[in-house]
Amino acid sequence: MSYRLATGYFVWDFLAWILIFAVAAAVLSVCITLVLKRQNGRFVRSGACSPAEPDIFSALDDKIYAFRKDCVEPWLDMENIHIIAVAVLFFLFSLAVFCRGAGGGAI
Amino acid sequence: MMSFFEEALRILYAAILMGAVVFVAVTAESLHYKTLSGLDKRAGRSSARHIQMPFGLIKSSFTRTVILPEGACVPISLYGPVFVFSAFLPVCASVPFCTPVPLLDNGSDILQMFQFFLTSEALAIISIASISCPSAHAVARRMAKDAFDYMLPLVSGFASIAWYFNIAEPDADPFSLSSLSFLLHEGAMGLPGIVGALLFILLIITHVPHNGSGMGCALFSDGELAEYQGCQRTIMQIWGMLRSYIIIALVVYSIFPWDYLKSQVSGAAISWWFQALNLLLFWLTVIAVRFLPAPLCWRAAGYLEKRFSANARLLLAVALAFAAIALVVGDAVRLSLDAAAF
Repeated sequence: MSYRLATGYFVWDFLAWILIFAVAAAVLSVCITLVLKRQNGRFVRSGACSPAEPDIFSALDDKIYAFRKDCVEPWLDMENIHIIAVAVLFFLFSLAVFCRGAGGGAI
Repeated sequence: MMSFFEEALRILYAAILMGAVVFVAVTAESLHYKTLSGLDKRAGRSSARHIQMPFGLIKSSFTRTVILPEGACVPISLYGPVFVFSAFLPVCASVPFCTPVPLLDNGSDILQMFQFFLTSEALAIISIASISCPSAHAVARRMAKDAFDYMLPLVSGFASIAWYFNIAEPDADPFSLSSLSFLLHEGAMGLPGIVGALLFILLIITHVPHNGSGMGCALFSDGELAEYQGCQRTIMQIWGMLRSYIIIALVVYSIFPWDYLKSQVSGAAISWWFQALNLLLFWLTVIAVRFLPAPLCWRAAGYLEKRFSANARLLLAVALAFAAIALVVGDAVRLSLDAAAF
């Protein structure tokens, strides 16, 4: 099994990624476990949570919700959405195939 | 057998280097904290910074009692920060801060870094949301917004520069951190492109997650989430400091002339003293940028925050980002047309 993805431009070494991630996770987990062990393996429940600060994002949330309700959902509710989705994907695919090489070196 | 030891030694060296980066990030934060406190004292103001001194915080947190709020999902809120930090370390390993011991091949690959930035951010948001408090949810939402804020200029900036680089140097790797450095030092970029790249740098540094008092650790500033205490909280805070520091390091690396010099000066990549000098100069530059230009950008952003409404600010940021993209891409089109005419 190959652990490396090598293209002309970059090399992704999956084994090194896993190694860095696993070793760091193991070391830090041991740290947390040791700290817990000092407290006889227990942690303290702090009881009630502090109240949330005034939500500064609620206006943004409302806008996102309105956008979803007004612009996205009518499309999703359409009867032939599946066929349209396949057609759009096909269109994008053909665009990608026929415009190959248009980006980059020659515009 | 020999190769196994060589590999183990390489991993050990790389781990030491990554540890050193974390140490430098925390040191830079501490220095900044001390400077701010000193300035406050001199001006006779009481320090309004609620965040603890980074090294003191680390030291005390491993002896402090672990506290979790009622209703928190224990495994995730306790061990989640571990995975957040671990997922960020490959980014740290990717910054080609020292060429003799690269743990990841072709370390300056931007795509690789973005994957881990994204993974780490997603894990961080999950970890904070698992605390299951209204205040924790508010922090998680703010983190998601911050992540979006800094990633958008970062991605659009590097993508535009990659596009430019692909036209200027079709045979080289466009998704490399040193693309901009090559373009600038070879004089291949026109004035609009340079202005666009500078605008991107300004936008990225302005959007580096930070708190109101200029500390790079935006997480749990001002005593947020007091019911979530212990070493897991400290790991998240160190991650916050490291994240801000690494974003600044990426920006500095993208204009640092090391890769260009390596291609110009024969033996530069081999000579140990040249590499050591590069390492020292690079990290000193990052600390210098963290110390002065970055806080200045944040102050300017804070000033704008007070003057303009949220919508106006959003509009300004989007307009500046589009202007930067237009300048870089427009210059690339000019270059392409010049090449076609030739």
